Amino acid sequence: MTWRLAVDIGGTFTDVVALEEASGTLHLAKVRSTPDDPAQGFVNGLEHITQYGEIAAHDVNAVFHGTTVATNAILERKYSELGLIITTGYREALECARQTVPGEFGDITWWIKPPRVVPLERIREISARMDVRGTVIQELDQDEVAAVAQDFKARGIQAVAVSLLHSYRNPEHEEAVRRIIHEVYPDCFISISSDILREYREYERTNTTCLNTALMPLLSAYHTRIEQHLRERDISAPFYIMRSSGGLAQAQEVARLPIAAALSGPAAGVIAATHFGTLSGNQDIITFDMGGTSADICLVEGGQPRMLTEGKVDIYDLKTPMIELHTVGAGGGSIAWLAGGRSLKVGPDSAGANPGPACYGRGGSQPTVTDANLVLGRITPTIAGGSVSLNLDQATQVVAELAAGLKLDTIAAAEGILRIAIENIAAGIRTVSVKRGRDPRSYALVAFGGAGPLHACYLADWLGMQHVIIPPNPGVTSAYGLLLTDVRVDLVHTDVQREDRLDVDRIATEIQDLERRVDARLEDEGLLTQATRLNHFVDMRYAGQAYEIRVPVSIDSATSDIQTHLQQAITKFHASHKDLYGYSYAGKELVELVNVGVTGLGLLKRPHVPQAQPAGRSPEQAQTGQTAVYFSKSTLDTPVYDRAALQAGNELSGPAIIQQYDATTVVEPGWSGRVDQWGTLRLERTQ
Amino acid sequence: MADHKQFSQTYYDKANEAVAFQDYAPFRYGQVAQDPDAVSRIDALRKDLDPILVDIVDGGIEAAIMEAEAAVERTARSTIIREQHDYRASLNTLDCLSVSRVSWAATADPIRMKFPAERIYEGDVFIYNDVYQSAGTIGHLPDYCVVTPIFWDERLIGFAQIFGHVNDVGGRMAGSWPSTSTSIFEEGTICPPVKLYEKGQLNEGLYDVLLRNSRFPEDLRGDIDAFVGANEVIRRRVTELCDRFGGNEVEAAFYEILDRCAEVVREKGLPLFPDGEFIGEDFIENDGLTLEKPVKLQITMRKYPDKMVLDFAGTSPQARGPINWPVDGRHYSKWLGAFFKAQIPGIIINEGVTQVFRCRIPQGTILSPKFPAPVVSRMTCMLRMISAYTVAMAKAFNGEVVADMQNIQIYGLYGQDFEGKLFLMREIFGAGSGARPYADGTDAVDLVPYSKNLPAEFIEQRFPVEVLRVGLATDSGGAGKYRGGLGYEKEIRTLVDGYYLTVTERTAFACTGIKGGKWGTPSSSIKNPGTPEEEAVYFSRDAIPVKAGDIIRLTTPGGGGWGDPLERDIDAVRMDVVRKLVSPERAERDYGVALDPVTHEVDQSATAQLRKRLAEARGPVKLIDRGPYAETLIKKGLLDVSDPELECLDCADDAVLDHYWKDLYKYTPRTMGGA
Repeated sequence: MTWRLAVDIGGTFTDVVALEEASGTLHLAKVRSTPDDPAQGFVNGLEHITQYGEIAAHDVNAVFHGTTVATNAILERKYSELGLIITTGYREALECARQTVPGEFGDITWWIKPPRVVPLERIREISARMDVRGTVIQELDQDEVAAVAQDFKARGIQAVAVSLLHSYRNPEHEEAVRRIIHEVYPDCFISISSDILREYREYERTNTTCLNTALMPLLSAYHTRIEQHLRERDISAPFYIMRSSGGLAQAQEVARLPIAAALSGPAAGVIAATHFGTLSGNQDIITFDMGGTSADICLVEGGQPRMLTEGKVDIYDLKTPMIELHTVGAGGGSIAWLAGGRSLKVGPDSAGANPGPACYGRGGSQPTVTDANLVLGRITPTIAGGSVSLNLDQATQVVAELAAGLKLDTIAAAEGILRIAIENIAAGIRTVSVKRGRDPRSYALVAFGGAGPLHACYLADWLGMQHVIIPPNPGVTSAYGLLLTDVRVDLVHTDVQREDRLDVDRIATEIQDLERRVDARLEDEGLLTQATRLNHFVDMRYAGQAYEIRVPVSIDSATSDIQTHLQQAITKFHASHKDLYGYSYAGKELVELVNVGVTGLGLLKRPHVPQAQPAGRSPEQAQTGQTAVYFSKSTLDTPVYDRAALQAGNELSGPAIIQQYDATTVVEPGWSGRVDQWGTLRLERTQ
Repeated sequence: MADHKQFSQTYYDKANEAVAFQDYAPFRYGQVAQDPDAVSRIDALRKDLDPILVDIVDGGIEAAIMEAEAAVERTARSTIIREQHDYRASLNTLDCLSVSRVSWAATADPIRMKFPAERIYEGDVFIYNDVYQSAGTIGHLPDYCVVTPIFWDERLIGFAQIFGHVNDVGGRMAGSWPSTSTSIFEEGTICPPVKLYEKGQLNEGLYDVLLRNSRFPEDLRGDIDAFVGANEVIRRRVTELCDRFGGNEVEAAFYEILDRCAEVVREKGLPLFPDGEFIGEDFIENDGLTLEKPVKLQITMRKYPDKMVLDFAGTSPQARGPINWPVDGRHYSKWLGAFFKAQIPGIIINEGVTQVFRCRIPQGTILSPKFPAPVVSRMTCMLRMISAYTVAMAKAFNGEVVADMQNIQIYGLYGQDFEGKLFLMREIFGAGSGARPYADGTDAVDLVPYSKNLPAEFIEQRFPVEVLRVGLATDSGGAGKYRGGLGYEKEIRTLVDGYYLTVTERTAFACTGIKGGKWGTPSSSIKNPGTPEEEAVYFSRDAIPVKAGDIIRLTTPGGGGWGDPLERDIDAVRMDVVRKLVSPERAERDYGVALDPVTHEVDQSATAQLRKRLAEARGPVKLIDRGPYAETLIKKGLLDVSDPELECLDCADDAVLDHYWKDLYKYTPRTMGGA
């Protein structure tokens, strides 16, 4: 027996999946998350599954983890006090940021700037200075740096970020500063900007480095606790953590670069959805992960999720590779309200898990998306086999109050809430698809999370999508995704060069350097990897533009003909520009290369997943009853099925409701579905 | 005009104004009417329109605008567009009302006025920057406006519009922004409303002419192509909504969205204002030519239970220099209407606001100039209008308003780079925002949403310049119970010979403090500070010669303070000193806080005594504090204000005027910048 364990910590539940590599035997568990001490939730989940599945410590060969620890620390500003060392003249770089007021014209009057990651009193300037080519203008003063390090030490500051101008071009000074601090103050957590984000634009690089540094002590303590627990249980298997890029890294690498794991949890969901899409023959999918507070959306093409080089967590701009997740403030707990006493809005505020929707009967007094679904009959008052009951009267009352303000009847208001929520999500899907020149109708929708399957067909109808895929266990899809990914290292180097004046030798040297560093990292990570693969890319723009497009370059090794490969990449850039923005200047304007980069993948062995033998087409053995459901403008008598009792090959047609422990699926009228050999529910629009 | 009148009765005369404005400029320059059939069709549908559908159309429009603006940001070339977000997309109804919520974007009026509906085809794209043929929708020539008609079921139902500030449209200065022009013909190439595309076919000859007239044709082409592409995004999104819900219904929803805004402002916003008449004024430093003579903007705010009228009588006559703002009352209403957000955060403002909130402009003022008056620096009017409004509001609300601010200015450098090519570095720079009755102002922010400063690492890559410092100007925020935000302090060293330029205000005048709050420090540019050649530059200038190696230290103004500084929380003052936002000297002088300059420890008893002494010496606080330059001019009778008894008028110091007026004409007028 060889088991892989995966633990995904979410806001409300910690999901655990155990998979036996040879047989494909799968165990699932859900335990309550412990937000005050997330490591405890991890431990509880692990205990639970190893006991329940009778898994022996020495049979565990890897532990995978997705966590929102870093995200939550950022959102709640619960990170360490840190110091920042910056180039003379730039002490207020974080305060000035990019001078941007979020929102609309006029918002400057009332917007209050949130506190910076490092307050001014903990920022120190040093005189060392490079120019734009990375040539030293002002030599580093070692005594000056040592004095700063002493000062931070005396003040008990645990962590120090270092960000010097043009360090993306030449990291020599930053590396020297790190050496000096380490000598003076060996216990200090340090990160330098050229190591965290080797790209130009000083504010973004500095801010990302500071956030990273701020998270280091926290993540280090968190990992230490978990690893200690694993040791106590005699689990000596390697411990991997999912990063925002959808790739894994070992815990010590994440402790060095915690910022790269900021979106750890949702990334795993995308990986799993991609897996289920691919199994059912759909390489082009849109993933739709809807939970209690929000919906995460991602576009996947050719089995590859779209990647971003920068994004936002809360108010902070982060430059780190991440799966392009678009988050919409529309979850089951999203609150419906009247803006200006007149317009119906849904979200972004959420009733969360506590008090939760009004129908939870725990004091929620505002109508939510879940309440609207209950009023419409789309979920039944008794779910999860009778273990949870919902209060229909409460839901009806709060929706009726809202309806009065809209001068509508209760059902129309409930449907209005649903329609607005769906429209918000549809706008999110258009953002990742149509906005990129993609037609959502040619993609399959993979819906999961507690509330995804409930809204999937409705949403697909809205967008004209034909196919919906519901994974076997929608509620633990993210945990499952942790078992399906590879170790990943991304490194980037900024060197701006114009197309007509390329220094090919310099680029070759830079690529070799990147490859060497990527290989070294992969080697450190490589306990379970079977093989490695390197992918190269270049970020390009037309001279004069401020934003780059990332283009893959097919370089087999640094000895191959880089000149030719770069020319091919430039051709691809013109095509991508036309694809994304509707025009290109091929033959008219020169292209600038901005960054070169290398992505290294340490490929892990994929688990074996067994297939079920097809049973008959009739799902009657799984039908548990009938219920009245309001589907736009008419109430229909609708059969209810138990998902656990559905078998491979079963077929059903809408309207239908499929209940399971962790989610309810609504098959809208005009849709039909089939359970495939992997247990996946594949729905298709027939009208 | 007959059509216009009928239209007005339907949609505009709801304000039912009591004041006659027959000597005033028209409220709306555009003479665009919807045909009566459309009006009755839409009115009939609106009776039973599903309110949820209206919400969905509203959301769909906003998503389309965001999408289009994102596309422009990623592909445009001019730094002012791309980094500073000086561009706006909007959706217009067939009669050119702006449905989307950036209320002050341009509109399609000039297209409808010039082209009869039967000559507007699918696939057409219109372009113009002609201020005086724009029906008051465009304010200066660098703003190129691109308009795409939207058809549904072969019927014209509205327009997508994007305008943006391009780098250069010719004229006598690099960057097309002379500070001393006396005619619009000096300010660049004029493109009247014409078709850039007809039925999908590009008019290449026209395009060549436009591009040939720019010093940076690649930038201009990139910008215009980005606008055309982004308009197409809006057009597609709107027709998708029509496919889904029906074109008539969507069109009816447009008007419902406009009326909703009016309703919310009328019912939720106006009741917050006291009824009555309140006068506010503010001053532009000069017209660019007569540098010691300020130009006045005056607002009489008349608040009625169901509407508000801003009468600009008392505003200075049309100026000889380029500070005139040539749009119409409708547009001014949309610009100022956004400031209802100070009263009701999060409120949505679109064209509907003009049903209950209207600016009325007398003929012949800087706000109603006649062709070919120069206009390129009309931004100064835009910002001072907000300041004058702030003063009127302060009187209406007994000071419970956000203090004054000046959050857009430009500095730049141009010349020939190391390769002998013309370069133009220009940055729109924010400043400190005004203090609030409940919080400090924000340091170094821009008024324009999404505006971004230029990273030093970008500037040093692109231009022959070294950036020595970017930070905050200590002590620049106006003192107050809540402090004004701090302005920037930036130091650059030019590596080549060239010219330095500024487009700015509040270099001598200060941002006004409110209700005991003090004025914020004005901005300045100092050439070679701390050397024998040190030279301070005030006011907007377009061609200050610089030599390779020269250093320029520029600051931007601090926001006005709010409330009595002697009531500011003592620990907040201490933290400001610790953080070097306020100097120990100013902590003592302005805030009455005595602290150790090294340990920053506060001496509580000395502080109490000091505060008492300062309060006695000062007397009761005043509502309005404009700072020494304005006070001196007022005291000397060179300026007048409507309610002097409400103003702090302590200072009448010739030395202040000497400071600003010394060597005033050393660089002005210059007719050519050498580029």
